[in-house]
Amino acid sequence: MSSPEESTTLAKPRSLAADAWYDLRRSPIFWIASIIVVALVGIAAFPGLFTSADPKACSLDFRFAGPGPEAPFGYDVQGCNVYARTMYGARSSIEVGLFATLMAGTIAFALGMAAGFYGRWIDTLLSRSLDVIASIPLLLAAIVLLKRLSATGGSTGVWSVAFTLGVLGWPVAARVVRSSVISAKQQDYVQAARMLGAGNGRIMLRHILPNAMAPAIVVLTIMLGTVIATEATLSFLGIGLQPPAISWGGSINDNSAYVRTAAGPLLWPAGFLAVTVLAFIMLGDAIRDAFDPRMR
Amino acid sequence: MFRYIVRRLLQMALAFFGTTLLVYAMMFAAQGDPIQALAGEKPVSASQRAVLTERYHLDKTGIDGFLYRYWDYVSNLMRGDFGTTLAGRSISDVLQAAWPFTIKLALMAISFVIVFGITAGVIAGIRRGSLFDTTTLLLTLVVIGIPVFVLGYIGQYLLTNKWRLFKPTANDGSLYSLLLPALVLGMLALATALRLTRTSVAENLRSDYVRTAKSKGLPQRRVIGVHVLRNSLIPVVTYLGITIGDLMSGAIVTERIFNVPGIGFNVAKGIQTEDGPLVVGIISLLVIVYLTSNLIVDVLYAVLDPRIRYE
Repeated sequence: MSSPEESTTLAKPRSLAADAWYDLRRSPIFWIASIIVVALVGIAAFPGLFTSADPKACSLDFRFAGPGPEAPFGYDVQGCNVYARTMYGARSSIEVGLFATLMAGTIAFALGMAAGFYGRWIDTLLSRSLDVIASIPLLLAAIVLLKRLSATGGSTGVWSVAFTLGVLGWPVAARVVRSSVISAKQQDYVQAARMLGAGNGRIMLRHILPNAMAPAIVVLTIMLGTVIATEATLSFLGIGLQPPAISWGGSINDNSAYVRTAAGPLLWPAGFLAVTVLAFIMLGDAIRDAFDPRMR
Repeated sequence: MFRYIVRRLLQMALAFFGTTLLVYAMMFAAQGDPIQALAGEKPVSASQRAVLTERYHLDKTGIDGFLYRYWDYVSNLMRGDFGTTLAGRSISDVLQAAWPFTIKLALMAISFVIVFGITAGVIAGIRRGSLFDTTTLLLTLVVIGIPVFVLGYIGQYLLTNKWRLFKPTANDGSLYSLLLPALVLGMLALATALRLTRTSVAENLRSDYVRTAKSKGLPQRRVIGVHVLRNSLIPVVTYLGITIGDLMSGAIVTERIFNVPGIGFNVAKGIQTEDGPLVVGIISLLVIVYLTSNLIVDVLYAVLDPRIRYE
């Protein structure tokens, strides 16, 4: 380190986050993944900007019709515009992904912090329940819960799918939060803060939370991708989002019987789905590499 | 070793009751009127209602009644009775017809993972940074990102439709026709196992005991084949245990795509025909299979890694 830089570091030391950002800016994978994510969020927020066609205006006259100016991807089995449906399908995927991950993140932080910080019976109780929830594969548990929700509430929408995946998906993140809280709790600076008279609340929020943040965010970013994939799988199986809701998994299911004669209506939403899931996983990977001091 | 297995068995019992309680609560708790739900639109006569109420212990209410019925469900599960489908067929019969397909499929998928995943992982780990390494890393990332059912359709489209190497459906259950479904099913696990092996081998190659073994003059074959491999495979074995859960969820999708009449196919069918008991019955079984296989893997883990026993 050169001397002028040293003086600035002394004045304002570069934090782990700043260090990680410094690394991230140099990672091509991070940029590719971020651009894809931003583009997808844009499509999800304003699908009308990307297509002027109505995704629900389907006419059997256009069954499997080829691409046209309005429909660059052609038409599907019901004569729906594949491009328009793919654009509008992004919305349900991103919505389910965001809501479920937010929910899982909130539960994970609340319970993981409590268990890691207070330890004792709270920790035992949480760890055992984590084990139980985590020992049912996500897709299987989601099928059961959604079956139940659809039996009571009629059709299942974005909220119930997001709720299901959020309620079942938090254990992974909670484990990460818990273990980083436990390791941060024993650090000297936390002892020092306590010595200076800081209360539990202050120590948790100001001193421990920032340390638990990075690993949990990595897990949650990757989880976003997994949630989107699971939502699509559930919709594909006919238990996630139900028509009239437009979703990639649903479109793939609708056109699956015709893959031998017309693959396009299936491959386009499938491709978008794959790229979306991949983008979130790559983003999570890139952030993890940047935050992992051992990689330096 | 013995104490470890006993402790692990106790944990498994806890997990068994926890998971079955969870599945049961998710499916059956707070249901409006199960007898009417069973009959659908048809009216239920008082005598029918009385018989069903007695058979399923529906007269007990509150948390007490819930636990009572949960106990019925668990004891039935333990006796191998998974209930009946809405059409009145015993789910054990359905399973009996279906399981050979799924077992075959899962075993083939696991062999793909072990043969290709671990071999390629070891090669990539030894030649870190080589062309082979970067190519496999990129390919596996793509595979991990693509959901199984998308992969299945792409595989079906390319291999059965464009190049006509396989038949599009595999309902005869011959090994050749199951090849493509098994490859699709095992792909995600293969990619993950490959990456795990690679990291693990690369890490172990830098360790002190490898340097010692090399400086003793042991041939490369022995250093890698015995010293590195044995240590590197520990995390991979654990992963293989976890992956059985993914394989079972994956089978629901793969068997549907390729029309393999196995256990997963029946789950997918149950979802489509809204056959709740069938879905829950099979999923209860899958959860038990998953717990058991995790137990076996954990015991295996203790055999592979003596350190784990003293933990």
